[in-house]
Amino acid sequence: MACRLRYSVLAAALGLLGSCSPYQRLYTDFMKGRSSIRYIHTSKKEFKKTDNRVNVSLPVITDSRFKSAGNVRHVKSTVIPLIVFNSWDYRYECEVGQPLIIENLPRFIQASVIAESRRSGTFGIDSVSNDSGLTLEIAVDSLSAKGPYSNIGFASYLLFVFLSHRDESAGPGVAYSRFHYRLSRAEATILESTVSSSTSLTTLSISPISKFHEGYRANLVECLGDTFRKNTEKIIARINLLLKK
Amino acid sequence: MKITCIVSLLILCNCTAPSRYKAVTDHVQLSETPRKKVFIIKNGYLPNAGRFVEMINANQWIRFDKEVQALTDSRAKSFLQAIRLLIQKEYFSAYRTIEAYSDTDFDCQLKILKADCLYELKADSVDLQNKYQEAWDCTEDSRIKSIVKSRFRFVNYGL
Repeated sequence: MACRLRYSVLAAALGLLGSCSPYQRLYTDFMKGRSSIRYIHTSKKEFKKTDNRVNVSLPVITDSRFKSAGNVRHVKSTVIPLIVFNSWDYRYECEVGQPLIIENLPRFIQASVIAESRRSGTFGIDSVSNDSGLTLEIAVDSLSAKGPYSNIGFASYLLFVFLSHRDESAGPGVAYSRFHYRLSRAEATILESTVSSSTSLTTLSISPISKFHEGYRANLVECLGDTFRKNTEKIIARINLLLKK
Repeated sequence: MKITCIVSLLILCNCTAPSRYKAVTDHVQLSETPRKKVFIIKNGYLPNAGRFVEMINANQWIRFDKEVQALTDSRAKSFLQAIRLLIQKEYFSAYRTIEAYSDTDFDCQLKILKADCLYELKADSVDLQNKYQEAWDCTEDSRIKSIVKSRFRFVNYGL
């Protein structure tokens, strides 16, 4: 009897502990590491190349919000901390910042534009020479990758019966980026436009569960990388059209 | 005594841990095998592809060896043997088995296999993402492209 009572007290204590805020753990897991933004180039390869050559300068990131370290922001929390019934509903918003990404973003975007152009571009491209006088400048004026996280559950204790349930979920996250680009020849603009893309993360299924928070960060970074891929493809396609004329 | 039991149990768990790698036939939907690193053994590659898939996934290695030996196509033999060695965590042997064959064989799955071996061997000097990019470009088969993408995600994001 005494043993059962001990277990019941232990179970109740564990139930109460379940309602403790997950913020600290989420924050530590989400912010402690970095994820790679590299992606697979999926565009069709163009084998016919012209003599046109474009020099791509190092892009600049003008969206200063993204330079911050990223964040886990509290949205809402509700706790019913009774001994016999204990429920909780914690909601946060997780946001990726530049320090959470392994790659140096301007260098990465420059390399991606070059790689994409070598695949689907009809022109030669590099970051060194400027034989034909064509220069491509890119400014990333808006980018973000964020999404909700929730931790909802209950623990109910009645005499020797203990019931509990916890549901941890993340998503749908959304990543967005907007590139402003300018193609010029001897300082004269011949093409200037803006491209933007967004990618949403619909489901998140990460195993093992211990990697859930880190996995969420990696997934948001992956989505951001996907928007870079789309934007880069659009820019190269637009330059292809222009240089074909 | 207790410690011995726990150690034995841990060793047993480690030995019986299911492999991340799996073989499927060309009729199986890839969504049916989430979190598995898949190879497609198509009927066009060798006779009785389905039977080989069953043997691989059921770890029936004695029967598998017997039937592989009976194959006349040395490329198909090596492909199957490499999958077996990869599942049995003999990564270096798996790599050596297929090293001499062209990456484009079996719809570029040999390229994927080689990259998998290098990943498991923790070959830090190799740009694995680039290897999977090459595999993506190499194949025309959309299902194999999907396999490459999931490998890339695993290497890049750990997902």
